[in-house]
Amino acid sequence: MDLEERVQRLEAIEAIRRLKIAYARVADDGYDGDRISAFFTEDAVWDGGESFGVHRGRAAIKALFDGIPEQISFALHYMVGQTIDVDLAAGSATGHWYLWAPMTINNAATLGAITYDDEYRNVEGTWLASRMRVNIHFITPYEDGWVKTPMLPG
Amino acid sequence: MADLEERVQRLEAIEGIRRLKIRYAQLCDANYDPPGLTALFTEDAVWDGGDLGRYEGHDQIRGFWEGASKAFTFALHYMIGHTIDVDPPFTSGTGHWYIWEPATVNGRAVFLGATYDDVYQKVGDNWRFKQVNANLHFFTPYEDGWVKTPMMPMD
Repeated sequence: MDLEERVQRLEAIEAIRRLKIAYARVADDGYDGDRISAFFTEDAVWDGGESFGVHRGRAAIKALFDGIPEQISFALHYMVGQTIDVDLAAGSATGHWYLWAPMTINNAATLGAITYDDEYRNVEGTWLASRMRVNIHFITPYEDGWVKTPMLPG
Repeated sequence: MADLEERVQRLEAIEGIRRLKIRYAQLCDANYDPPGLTALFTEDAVWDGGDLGRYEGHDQIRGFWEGASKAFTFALHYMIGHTIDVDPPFTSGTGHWYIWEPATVNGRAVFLGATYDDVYQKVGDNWRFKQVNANLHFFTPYEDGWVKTPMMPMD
C-alpha cells in the first residue's frame, strides 16, 4: 500500500474518532437536536433497540434528541476503546465503541454502560454517522447497581 | 490538501499531545509526584481548577501538587475522549478531554467527573502544558452520588 493511502487511513480514523467525541460533547451540552443531527447523514438510522426505539432520518433523530433533556438533565458520555475500520475506496467505515455514562435521569443519579456498532460515510469530505446501533448493557440507579436493577423501568 | 509531510506532522503532534496528557495521569496516580508533574508545564503555565484554585508558574503549580499528594492517597485518572487541534508549524495546540476519576480523598472513596480545556506548547522536542483548565462536573462521596452531593468540600 502506498504512503498516501496509509496516511489517508490514519486521517480517516482520527476524523471519525473526533466525530464520535463531538457527538458526546453535544449530548453532554444539553442534547441539542439541530447540532447533534448534523453529525448524521440525511438517511441515517439511530437504533436504540427496544428501550430507545429506532429513529430513521435526520429529522427523526433531531426530534429524538430534542426530547431527551426532559428526562436526562445531566450526562457525561465517556467514549472509550474504539475500533474503526475504514474502506477508503467506498468512502465508508464501521466502528465499535464503549460508553460509560454517569447521568441524572428524572432527578436520580444513574449509571449507564453501553456499546455502539456504528456505520459512517464520507459525504463530500466530511465523515458522518449513517447508522448507530446502541447496545445497552445496563442503565441502573446509582444506589442499586446492575445486579439488583440492570435496566431502569420506563 | 496539505502535503504528505505536513499531514504526518499533524498526526504525530496529536499523538505527542495525547501522550503528554496520559503521562500527567500516570504521575497523578503515582501519588501526584510534584517535581515530575511540574516538569510537564511551561515555566509560565497556569493550572486553573475553578473552586480547586488557580496556580500560576512552576512554584505555585508544584505547591498545588504537594497539597494534592497529601489529600489524595489513591486515584486513577481515566483520560478519555480527546479533541486535539493543531495547526502548522505544530508548535502549539489546544485540547478538550474527559476524565473519570475514582479516588480516595482524606480517607473517603470519591468519584470525580470533569472535563479539561488545555493549551499546549512545544518546548524543544517535547510537548508541555501552557494552560490546564479543569471543569468539575461532580466530586462526590461514593456513598452519595452526584445528585445528593455534587460537590463535596475538600477539607
